[in-house]
Amino acid sequence: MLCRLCSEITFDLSDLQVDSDPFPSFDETPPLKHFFSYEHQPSLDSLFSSAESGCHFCILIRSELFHIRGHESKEDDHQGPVEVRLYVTADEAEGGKDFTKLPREVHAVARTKMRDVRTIFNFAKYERTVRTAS
Amino acid sequence: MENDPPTIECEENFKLASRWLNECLKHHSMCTISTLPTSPLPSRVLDVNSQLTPSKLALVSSKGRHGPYLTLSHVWGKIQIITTTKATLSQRLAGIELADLSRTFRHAVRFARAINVRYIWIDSLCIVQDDLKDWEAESQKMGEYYTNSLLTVAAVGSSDGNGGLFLERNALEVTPCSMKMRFESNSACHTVRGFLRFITSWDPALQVDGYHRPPLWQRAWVLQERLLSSRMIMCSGLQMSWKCRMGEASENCPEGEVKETHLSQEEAALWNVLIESHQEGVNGDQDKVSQWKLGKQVEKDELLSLYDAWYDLVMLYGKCGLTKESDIFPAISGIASAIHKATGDRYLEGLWQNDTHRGLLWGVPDSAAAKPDLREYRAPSWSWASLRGTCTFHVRQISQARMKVEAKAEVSAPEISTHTLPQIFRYKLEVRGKVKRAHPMDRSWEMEEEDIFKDIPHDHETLFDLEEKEAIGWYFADNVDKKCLPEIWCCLILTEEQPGRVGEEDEDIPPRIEGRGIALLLLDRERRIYMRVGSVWIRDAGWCESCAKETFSII
Repeated sequence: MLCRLCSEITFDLSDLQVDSDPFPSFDETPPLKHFFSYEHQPSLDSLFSSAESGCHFCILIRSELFHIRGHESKEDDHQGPVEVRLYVTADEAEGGKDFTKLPREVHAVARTKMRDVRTIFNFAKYERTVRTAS
Repeated sequence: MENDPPTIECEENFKLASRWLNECLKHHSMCTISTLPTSPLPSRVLDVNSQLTPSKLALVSSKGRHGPYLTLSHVWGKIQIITTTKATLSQRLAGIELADLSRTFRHAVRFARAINVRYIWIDSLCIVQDDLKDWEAESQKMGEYYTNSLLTVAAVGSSDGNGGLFLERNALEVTPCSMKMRFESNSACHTVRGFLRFITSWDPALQVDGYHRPPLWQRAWVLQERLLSSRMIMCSGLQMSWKCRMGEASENCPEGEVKETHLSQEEAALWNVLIESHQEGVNGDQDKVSQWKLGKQVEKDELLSLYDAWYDLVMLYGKCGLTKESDIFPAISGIASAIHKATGDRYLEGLWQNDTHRGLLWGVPDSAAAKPDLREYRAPSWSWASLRGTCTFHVRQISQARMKVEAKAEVSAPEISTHTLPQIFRYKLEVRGKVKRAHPMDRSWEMEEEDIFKDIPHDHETLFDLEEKEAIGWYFADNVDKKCLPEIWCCLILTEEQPGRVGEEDEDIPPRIEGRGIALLLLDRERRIYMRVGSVWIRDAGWCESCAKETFSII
């Protein structure tokens, strides 16, 4: 199940943004710089509360944030908010191609005082063998 | 709103595991080589579908039968787990109540039944633990048991038998999330459905090195269980994952990924060895295997990579825990045996005869150097196995083109100690090379420096020739007990050509030949017997030039 915010994820295709600190790609391709944004949870507290209530996407974000943030002790520096970004390639950004084509790289970015903490997802089409627990 | 999170133990996951297994058997030619349908069963196996009631299983003697079976990789831990002993063997053959098994074993049986594999091999039950003869015979075959197993089930996250295979966790933390996303533009609005899942997710089952590795990967015996198994189902506190020679899969990525680079260097090198050695066994294809055997120029690089892989394994092995010191060689013998089978090289006390010059030059990191001597004998001083803790083999990074071997070393026939049971075979290393006396300086003893070394110019060197009154290089003691020695004997094993380079402030550094060797303590002057106490790095190998080669032994 998903919380209201997760079930209403919407990207405004007229508002393409540029990442000033793009995350290195996992393969040889250049890092993705262009993205569309969706304002997700307003704070980490609300993210954790939604995860506690059983929202699958919030649980996934919380799970990975825990591992990334596990070594960082100052909780006050890590309050959010959380932004969901859908990245497109430079070619797509320039050519205005079909942004709805999958798969896409999606980042859940916790905007904190110190730095952005990212959880990186692949948004892919349903495949026969992909299961979900929800 | 709250769901009941499923645990790893669920029908859906059993189906997933079966699917991974079937996909691998059907499509992965690399993985199926060593697990043919005709694999011989281990001497004893547990029959999980015997004619007994479902609440029972039975230990059976395989009597030369063939068939698919699972192997379990688990941590024994500090709690007493069920074993087979001489006294309980007949009971086990008559049947074992599921309730008498540890939680991990019960889960393993449940898993075997769920994926329809009738036999499972579990070390504590299939080897008669207090029968030395049986233990020795079976422990030698353990490598083969894991290599020939259809699938190894690894209780990665459990530190003892109570932990279980299926740990409680929240499946929603790893499984893909079904989502829909809306895309709005001035002219249209689209809704796209799909699944969100981590691109790369932290998976404890894949952390095989470092402080944060899970309990199973911290155990020495498990290293060969992991490396020799063609396929593994790994159950951690996070998820169930799959790893075979050709790919990986997990609950996060159930359809799996065929990867070419997911194997570490040692895994890849070892896998080549297993394929080659198995083909020899299956096809009797001696020509193919002989290509690997020593002396063929074309295979030299591959052999070097194989020895390098062995040194990497030894380093990792040293970081793992061993309950019995005497298991140091048996616990890795399966891997050694596979390498021997493929290369024909002689393996003794942890070293390979055709790479002895590099195998002898192990170094000791601070973590191991801080430890005292072992209290019981387990290996000769020249073997890495005599060291408590891990060692390093930096010497393997030296380019072969710039390296010259200076000493010839061969392991001699063993002397058998009759004072111990089981008997200990003590191997000597017979060396033909140069030895020269030097004096190590322990920097923590400043007074010593004042008295003996004060008039000798040096630049952080720790090894001196007091007769020539010069600093000659560095001494690295094997442990704290070997640190404060008044004198050592340096045996140069190989030299390395260092090209000259332009230094700072017009001080050009001329080319020079450095020496790498082992530090010895003279035990018997008359019979020329030494023991290793450390390693040495000689700044200018010319220091040994005036010495004649001699023959001596290292014990």
